[in-house]
Order: sequence, then structure tokens, then C-alpha cells
Amino acid sequence: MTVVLDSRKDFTLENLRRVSVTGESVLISPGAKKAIKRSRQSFMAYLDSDRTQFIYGTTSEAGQGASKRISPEQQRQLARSRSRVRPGGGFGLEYVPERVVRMIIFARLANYIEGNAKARPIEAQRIASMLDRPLPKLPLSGQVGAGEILPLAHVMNFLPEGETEEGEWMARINGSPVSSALLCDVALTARGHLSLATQIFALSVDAYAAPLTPYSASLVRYARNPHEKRALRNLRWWFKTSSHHGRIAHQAPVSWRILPAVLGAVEEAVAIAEETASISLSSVTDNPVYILPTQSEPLGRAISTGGYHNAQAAPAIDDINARFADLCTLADRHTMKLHSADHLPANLADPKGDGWGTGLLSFLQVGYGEEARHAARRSFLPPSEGGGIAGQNDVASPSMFAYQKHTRARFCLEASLALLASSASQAFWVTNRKPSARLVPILECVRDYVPPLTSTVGRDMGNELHALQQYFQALSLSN
Amino acid sequence: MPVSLNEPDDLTLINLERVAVKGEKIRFGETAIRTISASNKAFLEYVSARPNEFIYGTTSDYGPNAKNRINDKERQRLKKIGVPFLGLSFGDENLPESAVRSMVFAILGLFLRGGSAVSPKTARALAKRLDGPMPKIPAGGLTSPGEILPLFYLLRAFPELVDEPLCASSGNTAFCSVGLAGIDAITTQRRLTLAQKVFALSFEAIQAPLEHIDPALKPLWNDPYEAVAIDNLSHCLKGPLINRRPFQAPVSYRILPRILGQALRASERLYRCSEESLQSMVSNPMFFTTGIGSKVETISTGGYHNARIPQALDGVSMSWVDLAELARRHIIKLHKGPVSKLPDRLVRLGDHYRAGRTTSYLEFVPADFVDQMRRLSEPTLLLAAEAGASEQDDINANGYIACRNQRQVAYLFDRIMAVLGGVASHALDIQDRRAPLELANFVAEIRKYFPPVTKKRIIGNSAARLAHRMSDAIDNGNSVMTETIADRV
Repeated sequence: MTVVLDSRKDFTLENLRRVSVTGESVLISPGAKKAIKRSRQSFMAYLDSDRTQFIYGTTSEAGQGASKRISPEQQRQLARSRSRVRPGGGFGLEYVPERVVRMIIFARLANYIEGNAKARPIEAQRIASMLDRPLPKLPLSGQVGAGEILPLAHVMNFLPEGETEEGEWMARINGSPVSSALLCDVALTARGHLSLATQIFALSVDAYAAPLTPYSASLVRYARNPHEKRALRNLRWWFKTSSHHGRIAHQAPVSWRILPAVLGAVEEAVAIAEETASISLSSVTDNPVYILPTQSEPLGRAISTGGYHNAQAAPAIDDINARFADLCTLADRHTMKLHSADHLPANLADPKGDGWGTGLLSFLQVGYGEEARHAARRSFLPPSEGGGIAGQNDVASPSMFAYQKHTRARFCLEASLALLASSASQAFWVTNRKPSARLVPILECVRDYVPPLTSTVGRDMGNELHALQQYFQALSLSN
Repeated sequence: MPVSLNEPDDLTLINLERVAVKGEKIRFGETAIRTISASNKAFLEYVSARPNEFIYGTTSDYGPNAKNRINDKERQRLKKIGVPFLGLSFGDENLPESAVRSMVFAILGLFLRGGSAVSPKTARALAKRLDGPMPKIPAGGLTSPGEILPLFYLLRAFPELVDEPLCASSGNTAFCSVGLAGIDAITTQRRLTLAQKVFALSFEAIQAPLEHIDPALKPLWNDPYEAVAIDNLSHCLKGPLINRRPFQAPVSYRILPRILGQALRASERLYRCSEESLQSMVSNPMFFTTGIGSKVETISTGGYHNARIPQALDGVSMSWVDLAELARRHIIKLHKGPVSKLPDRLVRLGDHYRAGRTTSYLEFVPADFVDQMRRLSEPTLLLAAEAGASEQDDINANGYIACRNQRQVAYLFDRIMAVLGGVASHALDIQDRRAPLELANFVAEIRKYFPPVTKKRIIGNSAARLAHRMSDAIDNGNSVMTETIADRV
């Protein structure tokens, strides 16, 4: 299957998923090609009408040289000399997932599809064709600078060979498609992580034999916020056929009762990530951007903007990171309480076993929680001006930095949930109970990776838990 | 005229401000009293019919002793003993009167919908308390599971809350964070209005090309908040603006509408979150009569823990830091002649910076504030430490921490706005340029406190006066500093 792009309306999260996760190709529609061509012609007419006017990177030099105008011949020469994007300079130990590189390429096309990139159709086709070729590797580190030239250099260096004309080379590496892609990836995967977390916490509710009243339908009706309602509904779904019997007769600790509130905040963070991802994906962020001709401006115009700085991505990703850290904290507390509750065997030790129990799981939670909280630190605008002290590029975009922390935050959440799920599984085992019917399949999956512990002999808990974390990762990404 | 409360929709932030900040009184209307009365009656019947059901604090003891059941007689005995804690918190100053009033307003919001099942007498009595002074509550050491630490002070000052013979809850709700965040939501809007004016002034001072805020960008960027930022900046700068820079301004100017757009998004989110929270206060326990819930029930909840408010406040704090970072760049660039194309160091023609008739060196000052802001704006996560010596109370509610930090960050931000406002105004003055028409009154107000530097003086004092004036205008409204910019906002 191929995703056909006709206008900016086609830059949806669903189409992004098809291209990035399913691996589909992209086709620029004939209508879009015509629009791009028309736009290119009018841009050239606009440029030729006055080659002394300021058009960043076309009639002027780029970056710190923006104030320097160049002659028409130099303009053509500059365009020809930049037909190959130079390789990126960032390096490091880890790389952006391949699906995100596909997202960047897809998002890059939003500038082109209606002609705002002022480029010829062949440029859009070259970019689209990158999705059918071996993909570049994009290091996670070393990508925080003004605009997104640093990461785009890595990606666009892989563009198929071809000459460039005036106005085209800058369109390749300006704008903010990287932020869009990173935010989209977080938006698409965070929903899966939230679903997984809800399920594992539901398992923990049953494992502790906590009362179900904090998740009452009355609260759904009473709440005014849609995210809180949704969190409650999602949590309640797992208890659809559950009985109120066999649960402790008094209220469970705070960490169980505040689950709807905390999950509601995660719901909100995910919803904002989804909303801002959709906005970012279909936005035109080029600098300079070409404003299409109108009746009053028949040649259109090219203007300098700050479009290359996506201000929504880092805060939205940061919020997800913070909420993942909160979920790790709750998982830690649940794990601890499962191992120390009065109504459960101490340390969740099997009375018929060697007496060790699974207290180790509670120890392990500490480290993952600390890591998650560290990854939740804010991605403010960097104080360093980088190359900007000379005046132009004085503020860097922190999106990649936020995403880099996100990769850690989601690993920690998966790990923390693996520990909680294993603890819950053990609690059912040592008390000979079963969870609510809808939770039985996930319990069985957990036990496939981490069987209940009767004896520590022959067990490698680290490997088992790692395998469960990886299963959770796959589950979240495919959700 | 007192604010009348009848329906949940009356629990608006506008009414909150009238009561908490402007000191207006509050009265329950007939509809509200009917709801409260019906809920109280239904709760008494409910408890009477189910003496063995677990109802936290009614048929059970509190906190660590929640698992201990009590009967009617024991309940009466414990009630006579009263609240064991008269006040445990300390440190810092006391909370402002407006903050405590906002907390009472939030508790009345809980009462209004009947979830606490207090009697009309108690509800009216608490509302009447707003006619007089509020108790002093220390601003430090208030974080606990739920918001019981500030509640102890209210229970001590307002014994009618404790004397209620039988109710589900007399305030075990997120009243503190919801009340404070409500005020913060209003001041955030004003602070952002002021910030947009200051940034517009800076934009004008450096004569940035207007194409950076061209309305044609709105459909391209596709973001409603960035569109508002573009409109606001354009409105502030409308008029015959000439002699713009012939090439693009530094990034810190070009990305202004995008950073301001994100701040507007954060502000809107805080406003919506605070108002929704106010209109759906949940306590522990919570009583639902038919018509509110699916059935009559009393349930133990975590309603005292509002997790969305810290998130919303944190978003606002982050925006203050990012805007402060931009402001710092602007202040430096305005003083840097080769970049600004203005007189280097903003020195008057023929003058020398050593004469002290310039704002030069003031650009060093914000670094201190921004650094502090960054530290205070780290996210307010759930505290990882076990909260206390109780299996029950194991997670702290972190709303108050987020409120306190946001306020500190916001006041630091005002100082940076004062520096940028003063510097931009000075930059216009040394070139004999006038402020754009829409900013004329704003600039006149700035100059009352921070006049352009024409002779050597202690400029820090001017900046401090202006910062104080800005904070005051934000806290109280009714100033040219915080007047709404355009109709759309």
C-alpha cells in the first residue's frame, strides 16, 4: 500500500503510522505536483521581480551571514553549490529509531505539498523516494542547535543526487519536521504505554484485594474533566465482571486510591501530545516560507519566520516523561505494599517454598524510579547561545533532548511495570487467587516470562524480568 | 453584592477571584441549600441503614487507624475529643489572606454539590466566615497525603466543621491546591498579557521586521495559540512603523510568537483545569445521592489528590523560564550594537558608557533570576519517599508544592520583564523614537518607575520599582500594565 499525499490534510497521525510503522511508501498526487509546480513558477517570478529584496538564503547568505546580500549570479551559484546536503556532525552511542527517521522524512513533505517550500516537484519526489531506500542513521546526541539543521543534515544527506536551484537548498534543511516526528512518535507510543500501565495497575488492585469503590461509576458521572472520565472508564473496564467480595474491608493505601487521579493526568498529557503532534505534523514551518499568490499579491512573497522552532514538542514530551516517572513511583509503592501488607504473606513468600519470596522486586524498583525521575527533568530553552553570539542563531531547539530523555523514561516505565506485574502475579500465586476475568490473559503472559517463585534455585530473575520488559515494550509500541 | 452560589457552574474562577482576592462575601442560594439539605438527609438515612458498612471517618477511625471500626457511641466520644492536631506546619511566612479565602471557597464548592453531606447550617456558617478574617496558615511544611496539614488550621479556626454531628467529609479534599491554582490561573493570564506587551516593545526597539509576526503565518503554523500570539503582537505594534531592519532579526525574536503561543496554551490549560477542578471537588469519603452518581453510595476515594493541577502549573512555570530565556537574549542583543543596529551598549549619541547614562551592564542582572527560575521549575513529581509512619498514607499530594514554586518563578519572571521593559524603553528614548500607539500608555507607565537613563543613578532601584509595580498590577488587575490586548484574548 502507498499513502497518497494531495494536500496538508493528508498529514495525519494515521498516515504517519502507515508510513513509519507499517513501512508504506508515499506518492505525491498529480494534483499536488501541479500545485507545487505552479508555486515554483510564481516564486521564481517573485524572485526575478527584484533580486535585491531580502530572501534568506536566496538573495542573502545564510546563518550569521544573513545580513550580507549577494548578486544574482552569486545567488545561482550558491544554489548550485548546495545540491548536496553536507553530512551531520552529531555523534553518540544511541540512534533515533528507524520508524522516527521515516516520520521525519514524511513530515518534511508538509512544507512541499502545497508549494510553500518554493521548490520544484522533483524535490518533493526525491524526498518521498527516501522512504523506499536504505535509511540514514540519526544519532540521538549532538542534535540540539538553532532550528533543526543539525539532525536534518544527517537525514537529508541521504537525498538522491540532483541539482538544486534558487530557494531549494534551504527548504531541505530548514523548518521543524524533526520536532514534529519526535512528538508524533511519543504521541503514538505513549497511548500504548498508558494502556499497559492501566492494565498492570488494575492487576495490582486485584492482587492487593483493594476495594473497587475508588473507581466507582459515580465518579465518572461526577467528574467534569474528560481525561479523568476516560482514565476511570479505562480502569473500570478491567473490573467489569469483578466481585466486591474477598477484598479488604477498609480502604486501601493512598497509592491505590489516587490511581484515577494520576492516570487522569497521564491521559491529559497523552491527549495534549496527540493534539500538538497533529498540529505540528500538518504545519508549514519553513524559513523563509513562501506565501502563495493572492489577488492582492499575485507573485506571493517569501518571508523570514521562526517556523523552524517547534515550541510545543519539548513541553509535551516533558509532560509525558514526568507522568511516566509518577507511574514508576506508584508502581514502586504498590510493589512495596504487596510485599508488606498485613493480609498477604510476608515478602510474598510461598509457604511451601524456600522462604525467599520476591522482596527483591521491591528493591529493584528504586533504581528504575530514580532513573525515570532523572529523565523527567525539564527541557528548557538551552541557556547557551551556541553559534548565536554573533547575532542570528541564538536559541537552540530542545526537542531532541526531550526525546532522548523520553527513550529512557519509557524504558524505566516498562521495567517498573514488569516488576509490579511480577509482584502481583506472585501475590495471586501465594494466596491461591485469580484476578478479574479480563486480567487473566495478561497474568498468564507475565507468568510466561516470570513464573511464580517457589524456589530461587535455577532462576535468573534479571533475565526473566528483562524479557518481560521487552515484551511490554513490544506490546506498547504495537498498541 | 455577595457572590451567590447555586449550581456548580457558579464555581467560576471569576467568582473565586471576587471572593478570594477582592474580599467579596458569599451566600448559598435556595437551589444550593436544597441540594445540600437533601444530601445531608440522605446521608443520615444511609448511615442509619448500613451501620456495618465501611465509611471512612464515620464507621471507622482515621488515617493509620482506618481499619478500626467504630460504632455510633465511639464516634460521639471521639468527636468530643476533637481534632488531635492544632497545627503542625511551620516555616516561611504565613499564606496571604487571599490564599486562605480561596481554600475556603474550594471547600464550599465541595459542599455545594452535596458530596460531603454537611448540613445547610454548617455550609452557611462556613460561607459566613468569609465575612471576617481568615486564620493564619504557615506557608511551609504543608505537604502531606491529601491536604490535611492546611486543613488542621481551618478545622481549628472554624469549629463548626468539626461539630457537625454526622457528615461524609468536612473538607478532606484538594481544597488547598485547587484554591491556590485558581488564583494562579487568573494571574497567569495577566502576567502573560503584560509579557506580550514587553516583548512587543522589545520587538519595536530592535526594529524587527514585521514579517516575523505576519498574519499569513497563522494558517501555515496551524496552531490556535500561536495565532493569538501573532494577533496580540501585531495589535501592539500596529501603526506606521518604519525603518525596520533590512534582514531577519535574531532567532530569539523570530520564534517569539511560537514561544508565546506555547505559554498561552499552558495558561489556558491551567485556567480550564482549575475551573473544572473547582466544579468537581471530590472528598474522602464522598457521598453520592441518586441523581449525582449511578446509585446512592459512600465511597472511599483519593479525591484529596489532584494530579492535573501540578501538571498544569508546571507547564506555566516552564513557559516563564523559556520566556525569561528569550528576554535575556533580547536584553543582551539590544545592548550589542553590531547585532541590534542600535547605538552600542545603548549609549546616547556622543556619550561614553562610563558616564553611566545607559542601561549597559544591566544585562548581567537577569542571569541570577533565570538560574533560580530553572531550579524551581523542574517538574513537581510524585514524591518518591514514603510519606509517613502509616501503611495507609503513602503518597504525598504535591499540588501545594507546584503552586508555591510557580508563584516564586512568576515573581522572578516579573523582575526580568522589568529589566527588558526598562531597557527597551531606554532604547527608544536614546533614538528619540516614540512607542507604537497601542503601547504608548504602557511605556508611559513603565517610565514612571523606570525612566530612561539620562544621568547616573542606581538603576537597580528603578528595575526593582518597576518589577514591584508589575507584580502588583498582575495580582490585583485594573492597570494599563495588564489591560487586555485585543478582543480575541
